[in-house]
Amino acid sequence: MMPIRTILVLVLAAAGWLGQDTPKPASATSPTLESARKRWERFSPEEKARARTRYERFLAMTEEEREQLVESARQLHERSERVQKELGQTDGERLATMEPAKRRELVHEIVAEESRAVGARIRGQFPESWLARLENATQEERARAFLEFRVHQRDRVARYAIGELGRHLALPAEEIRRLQELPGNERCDAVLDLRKRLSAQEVDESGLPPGLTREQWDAWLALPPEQFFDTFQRYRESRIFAQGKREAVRALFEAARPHPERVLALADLPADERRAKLTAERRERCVHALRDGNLLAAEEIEALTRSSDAEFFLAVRRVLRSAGSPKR
Amino acid sequence: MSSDCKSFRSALEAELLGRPSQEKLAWLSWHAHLLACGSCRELLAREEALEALLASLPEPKLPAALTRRVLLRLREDRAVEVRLDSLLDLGLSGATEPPRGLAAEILARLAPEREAEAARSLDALLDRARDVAVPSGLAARVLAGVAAERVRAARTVRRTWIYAAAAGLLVLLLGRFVWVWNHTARPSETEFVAQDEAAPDPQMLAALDVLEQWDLLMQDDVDVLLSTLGPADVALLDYR
Repeated sequence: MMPIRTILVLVLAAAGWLGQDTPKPASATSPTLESARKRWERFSPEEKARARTRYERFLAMTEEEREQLVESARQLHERSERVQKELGQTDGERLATMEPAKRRELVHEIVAEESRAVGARIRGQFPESWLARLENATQEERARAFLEFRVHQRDRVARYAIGELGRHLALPAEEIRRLQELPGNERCDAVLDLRKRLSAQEVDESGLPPGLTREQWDAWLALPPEQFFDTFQRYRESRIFAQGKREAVRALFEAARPHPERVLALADLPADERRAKLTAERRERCVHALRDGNLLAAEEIEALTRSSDAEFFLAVRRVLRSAGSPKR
Repeated sequence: MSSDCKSFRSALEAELLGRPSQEKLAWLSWHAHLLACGSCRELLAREEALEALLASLPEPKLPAALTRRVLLRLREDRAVEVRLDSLLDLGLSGATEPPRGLAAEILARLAPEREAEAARSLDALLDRARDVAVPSGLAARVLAGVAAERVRAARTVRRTWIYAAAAGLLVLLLGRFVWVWNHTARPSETEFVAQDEAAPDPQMLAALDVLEQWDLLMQDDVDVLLSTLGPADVALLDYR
């Protein structure tokens, strides 16, 4: 009977083995990696060669530098996704007929423009000493300095912010202390959560922000704190110059901001020519806004028209910044 | 006892009715139930051994003189009948006519008794015949004689099972191979061509966002880098 038992064991083992799942390809285990692989496959040979060269430089960086670059690239990627989604809503038909490479190029340009505009606004709030450190660092060191700044903020500023917000919200002292002692990322999440609660409290006490319906506000309140802050921040920026006496500044703000629809309108031009034309259009809009709003003296405007693009837009930012941004 | 046991034992019982043969029992040894039931396997083995033993015993034979003695006795009985008829014929002839059929009637009345007597005699004879002398040690010799045959038969059955199981395994393996072949994503011809280039390192793919945004992240203007502050970091700028 022994052989029969042995055979039975073998047959059962074989049946069990037969019933096992087929091993899945490693790529299927990570949707992010699989998505990256698909993007990689769409690269031209030149783009692949360029990416490999960049990767060599990336590997030569320190861990902190790499960590910050990955985080910054993630933010840019999210911005790029949002831009594509918004363009899809307004110019979806035109985008759909474009070559993928062309579409990537245009989206990249729009993201670059928007990023510079957002960065310029943040620069106005950024501590001078840290800004100087960033501008004087090499490209690699800059990423590490930026990470150090963020860590410093999370370690120190976040505690102060929780104290301030907790006081406005009349939180018990023990609760404020508990939130201040949370680990770094959780402490930042707590800041955003308290900001959201404070905004909700202010609306309850003083009414809806101008231009918003109750439905819109309720929809915003349903968002997670991070998205709520992002949405509310954009609303605030759009409203900064919406008051009567600052109409001229609002017009300059509109003139200086990137206009993605113009990028699409000039899509048939070569990239360099398109960028030059877009910059020229933007300068022209700003000059009109400066003149019409009497924001600068005529001779200052005249001098600006002869300056480089960098100098011109720096002056425009200075005018906008001098209008001030509301502090919370 | 399970229903499978009952089913198997019914089949065995059916084979044992009448004149069972070793061939029929050998066929039963293929029954699937035997793979899982030790007691039924033992039962079948016992029946096979008993059948082999019975088949090896000599056919019982009556003693050679029995027929002659039975015929002699019957002949004697026939002689009594003939003598009685003669006596009746002699004693009553010419005087009074005996009723016709008297002898037959007497004999008919005697018949049950004679038949009983004959039966008793035959039983006694058969009783004697049943006492067949079996040589001592016959059973042991018979068992020893069939042992080799039984082992050979068992080996044949076992070998057959092994071959069947090996064939089954082979079919399973072949099926598995075909299934895996059909369900595994294989690179197409164009992918084979593409693999002439070095396949991208997964870590490089993980950093693809960085490599794609490289010129933005690494430009001299720090504004793009500043724009990558997350919402929480931007919120904290208000509290510096």
